[in-house]
Amino acid sequence: MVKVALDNVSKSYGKVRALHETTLELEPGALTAVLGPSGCGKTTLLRSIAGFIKVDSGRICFDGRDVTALPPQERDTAMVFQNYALWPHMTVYDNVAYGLKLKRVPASEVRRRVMDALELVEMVDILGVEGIGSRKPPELSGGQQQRVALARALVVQPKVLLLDEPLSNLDAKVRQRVRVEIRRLQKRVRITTIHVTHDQEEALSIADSVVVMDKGKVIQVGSPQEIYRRPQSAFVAEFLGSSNVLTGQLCRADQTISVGGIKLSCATAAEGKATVVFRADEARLAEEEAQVEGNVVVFQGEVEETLFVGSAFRHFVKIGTELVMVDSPESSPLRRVKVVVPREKVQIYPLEG
Amino acid sequence: MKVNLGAMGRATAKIACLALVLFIIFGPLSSLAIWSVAEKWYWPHALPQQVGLFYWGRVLGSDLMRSLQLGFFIATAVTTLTLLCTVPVGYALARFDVLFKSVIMMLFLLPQAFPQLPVFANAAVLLYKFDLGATIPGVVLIHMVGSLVYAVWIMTAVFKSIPVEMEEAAINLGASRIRTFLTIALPLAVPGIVASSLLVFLYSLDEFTGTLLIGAPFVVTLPVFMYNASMGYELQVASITALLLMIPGMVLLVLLERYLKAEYLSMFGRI
Repeated sequence: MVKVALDNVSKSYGKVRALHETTLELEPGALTAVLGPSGCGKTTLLRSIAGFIKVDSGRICFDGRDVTALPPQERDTAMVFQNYALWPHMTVYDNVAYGLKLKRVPASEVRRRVMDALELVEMVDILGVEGIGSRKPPELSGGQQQRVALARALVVQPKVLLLDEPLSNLDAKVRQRVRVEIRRLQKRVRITTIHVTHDQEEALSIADSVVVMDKGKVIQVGSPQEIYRRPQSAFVAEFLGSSNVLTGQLCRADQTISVGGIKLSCATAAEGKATVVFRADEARLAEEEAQVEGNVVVFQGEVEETLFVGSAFRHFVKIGTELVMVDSPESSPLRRVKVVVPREKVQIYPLEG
Repeated sequence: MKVNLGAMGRATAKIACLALVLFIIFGPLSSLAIWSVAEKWYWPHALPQQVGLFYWGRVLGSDLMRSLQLGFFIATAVTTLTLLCTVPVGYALARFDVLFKSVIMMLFLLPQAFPQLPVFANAAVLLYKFDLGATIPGVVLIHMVGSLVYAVWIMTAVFKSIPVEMEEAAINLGASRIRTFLTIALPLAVPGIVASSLLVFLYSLDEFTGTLLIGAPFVVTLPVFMYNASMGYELQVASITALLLMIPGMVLLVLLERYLKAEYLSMFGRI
């Protein structure tokens, strides 16, 4: 189990900053998901660790050993590519055995380890010993190719396993299953794993720890629960799950914020605009005339649209000029409503700049 | 009834179109075929008065077979040398930020920018200076002026069409650049290499201007042989040569169609 540490790593492409002074420590043996929108630098981060990208400054260390200057061949990482990058001219066996043959592992051991790796990803039963030696990757389904790609990476017993959006080419149903399998597999082999994805649900469900990135910077690091329950910025709150974002005006003099036609008390040292965030499933609707008790925030609004989204009915409610979503198990027949949110579920983030 | 008539009309139109296409393709060829068996054919007769295989016999017993052999030998040499040059160059152009990439590409294209005849005439002067005039190596070199252009473009496109992750996956597992090239890129490029070598082979086999200027009088390939024959008003010999020359072309083009992927061609000019 190897601890991966990035220290002040930066990388620019011309004027575009792909990584900006990124400092990060990844727990040995853990599965870390790097989450962010496309172009946030997560792939650059992964490729820098693999050694495909030479960083401009900063250090990358595996277990305290500086690998920043090492070429990708000498880093002992293994990557699973988004398109799997299996070699179509080789059989499944040769694909998996490639890394071992490079390391001059004796032939009998190659055979044993290849079969073990394919057994681990449950491909031996699917293809049979015969099929492994004769079938080529283009003949396999997407999910099967994914498993072979995983076996090819795991068979060399890398220090670090790098997964570059490995599930994005699979259809939704297969993805759910493979997700569980990747987690189970990682728990078994306990190789420090970095899983890059733009799918927040995937990141939260699979990872021991989540790194949220935006515009080349690490925004927040924490366990999935922490990230989901206590986002530390509007960006994280918005990016994780169906959140509502309202714009409010902070007032330092009376320690309040005006938002959606109401005033909330709010301890603030800043003045000016702020974003107010709450989750669609943590708000509820009440009759316009209803008396609401407890420590809650109440907005007046009008229901504009109701959609059935499977797990709930999603109500689109207009508060002032802004539209928010409120999920509830039943469709509300009301038009003019109160949107009720527990006070502690409402997060306020002063806008930077 | 109406429907039937429409269908019949369409069928007739189809057959008429097909006939026209066949006529356009095989019309000129049929005259070659007729000439090749004409032993006596005087004006104003529409067809030869005397038909026979006399000229076929003469041609097959003559130097033509030697010319054919020579042409194949030269084309093989040109193809081999061209591939030896263009496979590495194409790979480098496709994968690395080669310095002066556009200059290199231009250098390959430059001879095609000028009229062929003066380029070859000047090349002839140069080759004679190095005692390569009227020799097989001289002809091989002049063929390569043209073949390198096709081959570099195609090879670059071929290597570009191989996803770079295929090679990164090998490097990631510890393979050196050379090993990656030999075990991943090269095998994956084989269809493209075959396509490109077929094109080059055909080009060399059919090349005329350069071969005449550099090779004459000692290196006589099939096109030059045909030219000499038709200059002597032996239309029969010229026709037979033309028919023979068509055979490798047609065979190789059928093969080419199997190997040349559309994406290679669509990459032309985008490199």
